[in-house]
Amino acid sequence: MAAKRSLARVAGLDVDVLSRLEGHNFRTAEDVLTRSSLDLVELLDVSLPTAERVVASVAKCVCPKPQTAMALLRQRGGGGGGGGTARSSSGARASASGDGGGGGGASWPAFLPTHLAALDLALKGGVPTGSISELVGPAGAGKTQFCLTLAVAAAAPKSVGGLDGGVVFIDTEQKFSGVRLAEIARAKFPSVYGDGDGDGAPSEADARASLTTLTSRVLVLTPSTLSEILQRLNGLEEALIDHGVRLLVVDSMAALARAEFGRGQLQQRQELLGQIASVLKQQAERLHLAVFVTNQVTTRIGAAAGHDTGPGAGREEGDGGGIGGGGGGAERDAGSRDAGSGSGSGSVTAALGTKWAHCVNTRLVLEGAAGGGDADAAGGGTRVVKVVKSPRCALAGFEYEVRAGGVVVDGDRAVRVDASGSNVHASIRGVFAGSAL
Amino acid sequence: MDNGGANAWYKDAMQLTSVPLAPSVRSKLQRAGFVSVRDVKKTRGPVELALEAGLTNEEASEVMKVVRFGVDGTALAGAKSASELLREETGKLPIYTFSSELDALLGGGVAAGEITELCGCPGIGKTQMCVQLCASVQIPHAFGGYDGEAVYVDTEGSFMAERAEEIAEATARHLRSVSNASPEDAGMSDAIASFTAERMLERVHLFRCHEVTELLAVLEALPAYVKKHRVRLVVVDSVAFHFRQDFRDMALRTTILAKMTQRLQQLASENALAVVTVNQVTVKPDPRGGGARLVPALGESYAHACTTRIILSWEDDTRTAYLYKSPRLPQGRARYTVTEGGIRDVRGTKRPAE
Repeated sequence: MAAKRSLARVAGLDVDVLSRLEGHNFRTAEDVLTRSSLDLVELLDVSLPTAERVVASVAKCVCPKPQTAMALLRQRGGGGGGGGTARSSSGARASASGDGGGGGGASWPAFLPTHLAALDLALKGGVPTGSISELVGPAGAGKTQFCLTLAVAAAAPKSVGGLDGGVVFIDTEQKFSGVRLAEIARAKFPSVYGDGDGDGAPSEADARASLTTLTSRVLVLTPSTLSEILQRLNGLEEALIDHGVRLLVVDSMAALARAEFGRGQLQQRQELLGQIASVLKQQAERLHLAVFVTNQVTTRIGAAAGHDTGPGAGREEGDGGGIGGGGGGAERDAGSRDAGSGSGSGSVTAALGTKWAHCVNTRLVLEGAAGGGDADAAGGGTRVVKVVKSPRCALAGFEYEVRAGGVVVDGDRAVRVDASGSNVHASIRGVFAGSAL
Repeated sequence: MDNGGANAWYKDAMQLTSVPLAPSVRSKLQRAGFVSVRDVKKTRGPVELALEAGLTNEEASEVMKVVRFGVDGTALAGAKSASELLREETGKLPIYTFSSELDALLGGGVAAGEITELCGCPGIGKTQMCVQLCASVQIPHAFGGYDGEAVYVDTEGSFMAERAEEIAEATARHLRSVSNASPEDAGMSDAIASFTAERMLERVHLFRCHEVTELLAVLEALPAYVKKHRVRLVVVDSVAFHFRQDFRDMALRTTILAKMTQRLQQLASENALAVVTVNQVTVKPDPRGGGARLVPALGESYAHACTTRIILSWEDDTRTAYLYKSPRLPQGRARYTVTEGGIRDVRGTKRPAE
């Protein structure tokens, strides 16, 4: 941690100044940098130029090394491509897993391909590594299925387009199922894990051996509080390196947060969530992991003080255009200090609030058919997965189904996504509009 | 005196207590009867000062430097007349956002020499706007651009090199078409020859900060860095992230935010470069309606930090920028959209004003 860097390890500080700093209880870089040079003059009894020199040398040590965007692109194995060339899923897969395929140097997969062709295409390769992606959806929409599908994709060998890496699955709701994982693997990659029939299927012994390799790569943790997650994440670095982990799943963040903190403790909850996000981001970036977090939805029922209802309440799919349209009416929600996003009557919105929403880099939403009223999300109606926030790509949506092979996206049936149609923005949209800014 | 001029008398009257001196030195001076800067200046030189106040020669020499108000920005250094300012302001080029509606709202684009803040809800396109500006700032002089480099301070990890490449390519394509439209302009065709997406990406310098301390360190290091690299744009995306997690002590947070703002402002005005900061939004209970609404994060006192504040939000399915605060321009709205090539007008792609 740069902030905790001991001043003794800062180059360019002379002994005299260093002893003065220690005498005034300046121990780390943070202590120096959070004060102005004028403060240092007063506290350390030194001249202004000396104080400025101290700040400069400390800053020099702590300052992260700059990198050009080009260098970053090369590292990520990108190189060419981009610029509107539509990559097929297999192309994306090749660029993601092909080490050194880009501009040389150290490279790592820039994406974890989801193997859902249309979604991979929309996300320009898959779930990005090095940042946090989030999946929002009502109960029964297939969030855990999606996570399991991703886990299989990350742990599968490179020969079939996997990342050949480890997976850490933080399961807060005891929903992880090893049987289901194996089933998805068998259906998704029959050439490796298949059970003997069909072309090129491996022998049963081989399949079983590969399956054992796959399942042993997935480590499941079941923390019971948010602070335990934070604690575990802080100590996880070594394990992440040793197991070559490529994917870190937290399923689900909302469950614990909502169970553990009541309405009176929102501030502590948001603070803790922020800290977790910060650690997740650091680990994602330093170890080039894909971090995938699921989130629940919450219902806002107009005047009825949007109570933070359980996941089951997320069925009322708002009609696209109507939600949150009128500025005034959309702001009546007294409860929205909680999960954020003051919203209109009866709309569904992601839980955990705006602060958390800012923390995730990519956000996917699972929902019933757009404008489909009370779509029975759990009962096999049309389901849609939408990309509603991404630094990389435009809004997009696709129909999907949950089958034996996990989540399956039908690439031909793309769904138009506009801001109001996505339940996440619906509630946020228009709040600035017309209000007394 | 270096900085003589009209306000020298005012500086001379300053008490030694308001001058940045080490406390032990100051108390020695005071014991020797020195009260104001003028008293110190009246001595014949550092050696005499040292003798009178019982300082070492080195200390005395530093005191002399301080009371002369060198170039380090203490006290009132660098006051300018309005006519100078007028000349400077009109000489500044804007950085195009590539949405002509938004550019018009901003008086041509994002202005240099000041801090422009973008706030808005998640997914509205704040980062996209920043990446677009990193490309725009590199437009060669021949096309009326800055031909500058960009520094991108990323606290959230949302800078995607692949996305930057896309936008850079679109910008290069656009300039090529402008150049082709006026083939007689040799300056343009010369400039376009070396203007490739690759070169553009080479000129975006990324600092990834994982915590507040790193962010502060970057701010300390930036003044030297921007001079070395012809930087014309500094983006901080986002200011809010670390400040919203790492602080228990709100008073400390306010102090550090103020310090940071002051650094950025100094950076902007001394180097005539544009500083763009990104802020998040937070939900605030509305005392009037009993409901809640979204407001920019980091509080009221921070709201004064930026020169220009732009709020991005959804309005009727369209991304809308609302100019909330500006010292020069009237409030107003502009619609924009995020395309594969970057920020554009809602209908069709118009050329930025040139």
